[in-house]
Amino acid sequence: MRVRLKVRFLVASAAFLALAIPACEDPNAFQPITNGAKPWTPPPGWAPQTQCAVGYFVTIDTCPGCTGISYALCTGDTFNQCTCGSPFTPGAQCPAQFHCSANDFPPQGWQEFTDYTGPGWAGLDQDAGGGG
Amino acid sequence: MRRHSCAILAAVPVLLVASAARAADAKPDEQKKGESDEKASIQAAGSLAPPADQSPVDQSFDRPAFVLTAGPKADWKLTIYGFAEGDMMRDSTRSFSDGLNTNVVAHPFTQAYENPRLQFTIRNTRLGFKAEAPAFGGIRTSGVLEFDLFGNQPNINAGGGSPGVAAGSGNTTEGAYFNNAAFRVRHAYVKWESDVVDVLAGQAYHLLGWQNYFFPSSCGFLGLPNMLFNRTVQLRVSHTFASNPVNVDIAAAAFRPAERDSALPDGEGGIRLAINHWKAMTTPGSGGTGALPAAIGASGLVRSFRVDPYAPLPAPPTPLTGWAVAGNALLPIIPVADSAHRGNALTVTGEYVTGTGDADQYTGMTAGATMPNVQPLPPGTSYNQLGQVVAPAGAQPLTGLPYTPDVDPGLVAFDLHGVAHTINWQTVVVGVQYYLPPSGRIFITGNYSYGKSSNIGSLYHPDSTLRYPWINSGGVFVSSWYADGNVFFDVTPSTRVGLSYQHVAQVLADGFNVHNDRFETTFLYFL
Repeated sequence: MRVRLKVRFLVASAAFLALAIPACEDPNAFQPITNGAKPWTPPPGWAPQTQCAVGYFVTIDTCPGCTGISYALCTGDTFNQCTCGSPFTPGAQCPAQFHCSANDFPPQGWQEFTDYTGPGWAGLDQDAGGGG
Repeated sequence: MRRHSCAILAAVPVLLVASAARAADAKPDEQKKGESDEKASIQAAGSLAPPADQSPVDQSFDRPAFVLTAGPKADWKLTIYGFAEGDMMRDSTRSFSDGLNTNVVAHPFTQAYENPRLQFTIRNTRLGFKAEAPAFGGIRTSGVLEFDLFGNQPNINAGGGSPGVAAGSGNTTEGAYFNNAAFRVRHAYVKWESDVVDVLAGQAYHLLGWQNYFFPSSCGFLGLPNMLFNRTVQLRVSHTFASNPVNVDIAAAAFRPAERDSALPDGEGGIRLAINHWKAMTTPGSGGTGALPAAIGASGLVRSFRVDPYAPLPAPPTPLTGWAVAGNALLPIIPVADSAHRGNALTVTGEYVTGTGDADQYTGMTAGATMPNVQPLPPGTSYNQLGQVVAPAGAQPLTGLPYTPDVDPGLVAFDLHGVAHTINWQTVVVGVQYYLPPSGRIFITGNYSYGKSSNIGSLYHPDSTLRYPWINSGGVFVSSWYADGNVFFDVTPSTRVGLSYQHVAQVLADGFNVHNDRFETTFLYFL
């Protein structure tokens, strides 16, 4: 009887630990910086002259899976994530020279990085986002 | 002046020791108390220690427990325990308050680093109550409430720029800080014990490191630098597989999460093997001397973080995993039969820990790793060589939008690419205790510890200040070592004095080496 109880206790303890231990994540796993963000590789020639800061975007049209304009996001010092346009949120401003349709607005709280209009910027593509 | 204050600190306990030694020779009949109750109370606080040694004690240590009873069979018990403690400590720098713990030494060439500090404190005084009810349905119940005087208090003056303390006059006076020390809860828990399983619910020591069984002995306030030492709220289940030669303890617990926004409890578990007839004399901290079975323990911690990214919100929290594993040992090099026969006992304690995102397991340890309080400044912002923002002439200083971290400092940091990392630590602590013959009323102890992080140096590199002005790499240490030497003397069965030297040295993230030397005396009256 006591042996059975001890076995039960061991099983219960192991189950408790298993519940308490969340699945281990890869420390190098992708960390999205805003809702819906995904990895993005800048096109050839992408070369902002000024170092960027978190919270700034460049309007692009090359984010995978997006239609219309999308946004390259600065994660610290480089643009390596992107996100599709999203519905309007209070304070959101459509990037300069672009027309935003209902689902084309930048992510909430992000500002336009106005120092870059080179290769990869959607403004170089006359068709992007309906054009400015 | 420095020599004078050190000499005074050293002279007082020496005088007490000399007079008490003479008194002991002249009037042996007056020494009829002991420490068995003290040991029991410490075990009550630490919970998972084995039962107290009930054998008759040497008259030198014969101090009965302060127990109140009630009920027809006196089977409801209330044990009052604790100690009044006065400490005087002198530091070579102004880096620390009364506890060294794992705080950061001030940076060279600052007022704080170049000048000494002297502090008198009673804040390590302790008062505890353990209530025990008669068994009911085979279940034994007890409750512990324990307090000290390290309660939350307003800051006092920064003393010339102590790390982690804002410059200025502080929010209260030195006099109020030390004289009106605030009450703080240490332990508050209920415990059910049965033949099948023991359950503890409430605040008690962490299971990582099997605290407090393997604690070293020192005048310095625990936890010593690089030593596991902390308590929090938990729900613990445990069981002791007992036999005459050995006991095996296993335990698992859900702990208050280090980050409540993780929405998951921290998990800890451990196993400990105790050899019951091979006993080590040990003193956890500066009190609670007793004989405990030699033991080795292994324990682990795993936890989840879900940290708000360093970016405009809303945004998906960043999931990270923290973990730690610890190995501990309490080894009687020269064993004792029981706690009454201490003379010539020699004991070694040891602890090794490796982990990440586990700095909160060490007392006061952030290593200076602050979290950002503002969003990054706009692109193109100019900085000077000190990392300070250079505003255009006539313009207001630039400030970023506020960022509110949702995790305590020291656990997680963002790199220059905005990627969140848990901070890694490896630590080791080795302690030695020798109880001088014939009685063991005088004992000497020494400790060494070392801690190192493999990634904090890069996360808080001096170059980072050019992008993240809130980083102070001169206030972050990447490695730390500590050594102390202590002499204790039991003046009477209820009182103890100690004299200690403590040295802590650190390597800062900007490459500077710093150190602090402390001389300390401690005076204890055990309830």
